[in-house]
Amino acid sequence: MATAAEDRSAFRRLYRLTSAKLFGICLRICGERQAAEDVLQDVYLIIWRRAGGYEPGRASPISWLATIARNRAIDWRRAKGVRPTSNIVDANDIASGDMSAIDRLLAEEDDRKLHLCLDSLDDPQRQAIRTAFFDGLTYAELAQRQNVPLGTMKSWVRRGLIRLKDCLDDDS
Amino acid sequence: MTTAEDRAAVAAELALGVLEGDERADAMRRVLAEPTFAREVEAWRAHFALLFAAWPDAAPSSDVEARLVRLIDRSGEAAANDDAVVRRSPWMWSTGVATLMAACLVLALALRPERTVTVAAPVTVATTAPLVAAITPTKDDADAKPFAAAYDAKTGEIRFAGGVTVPTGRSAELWVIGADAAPHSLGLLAGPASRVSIGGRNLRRITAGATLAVTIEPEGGSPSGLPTGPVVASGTLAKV
Repeated sequence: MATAAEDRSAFRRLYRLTSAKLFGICLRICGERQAAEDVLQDVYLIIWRRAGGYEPGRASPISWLATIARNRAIDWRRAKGVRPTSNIVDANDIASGDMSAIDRLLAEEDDRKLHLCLDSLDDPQRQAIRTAFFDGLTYAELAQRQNVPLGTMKSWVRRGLIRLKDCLDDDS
Repeated sequence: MTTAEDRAAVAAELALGVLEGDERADAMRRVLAEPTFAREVEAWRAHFALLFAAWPDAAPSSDVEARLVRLIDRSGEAAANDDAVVRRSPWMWSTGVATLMAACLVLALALRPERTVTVAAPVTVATTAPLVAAITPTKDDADAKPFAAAYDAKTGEIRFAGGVTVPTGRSAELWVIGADAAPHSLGLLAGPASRVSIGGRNLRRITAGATLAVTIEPEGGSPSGLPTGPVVASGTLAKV
């Protein structure tokens, strides 16, 4: 049986490999460093206690961790009733620049296809979907941010998602 | 909009996180009630998860790591105070998962070749992502710990970050169970942190979704070419 010391050192290795990615997620959604660090701490405690129910073989470890970070950050913002901040870097401008080792693990052939399919959408559709993902916004928040009626926003996103699915399912 | 289109759209909306209130509650209920819907939500989550690679990194202050280490130390002490519970407590297993996940990531990073770029004509060399598996014990035995396995297509080797307990005079044999649902021997595990070279027909069997299993066999391996002993640990290969 591994000793507590071995577990702790493995946990620190995991933290050092993944914390910059997870903190980037928390920081963008929370909008402030102190809150983002508190959420980050929560995220690693969840991982340590396995409360999130990771199933090896089902999801990749790094996407599982990133999903927990994104969800916890969104929960924090909604619980505090904090209005989402407009980020300096618009969600539409986030592009893969210099890739870290972790990013290279995430980037695969499927990744190129997703980006190609997103690029094939009309501007308002693509922008709404990207903003929803990167800033963690609901329909109501998206509509407010873009200053369009809720129904218009829903229709953009839904049509965009259906076109995205057609594109992703297309094997050619 | 057809029913299938509508289902796909709601699954995507839930995975993206744009729903709230009643709409979100309805979608969550559908995840429990409709397996097809649940699979679609899972598929969308996997699609969107690819966008995490584009997310800009940021460094947290060093206090966070120090605080975390203090917190997990304290919870470890609390568990150790109750000797009767500690061997059966989910705590022991949960710490194993952190270890396992770290091992999976470290192995995968070690295997992943750097993308090389030539100066004259930038060419991204295609890389083959490693496959990893969390090999977990089949029995609820406090002494058996899950360990990571990673396959490197470049060297044709599976590396293990741990192993199983083998009784004296016996051997641990590794098997792959793929699309044909039949076990094929990959060779013997020579103790903890061993490597197994894959060759011949087995190369095609090492794919995402294939199962790796370890059995206890007579010394030198199964005489029949099929497993004769109990499966003591197994796991499914997945892309990282």
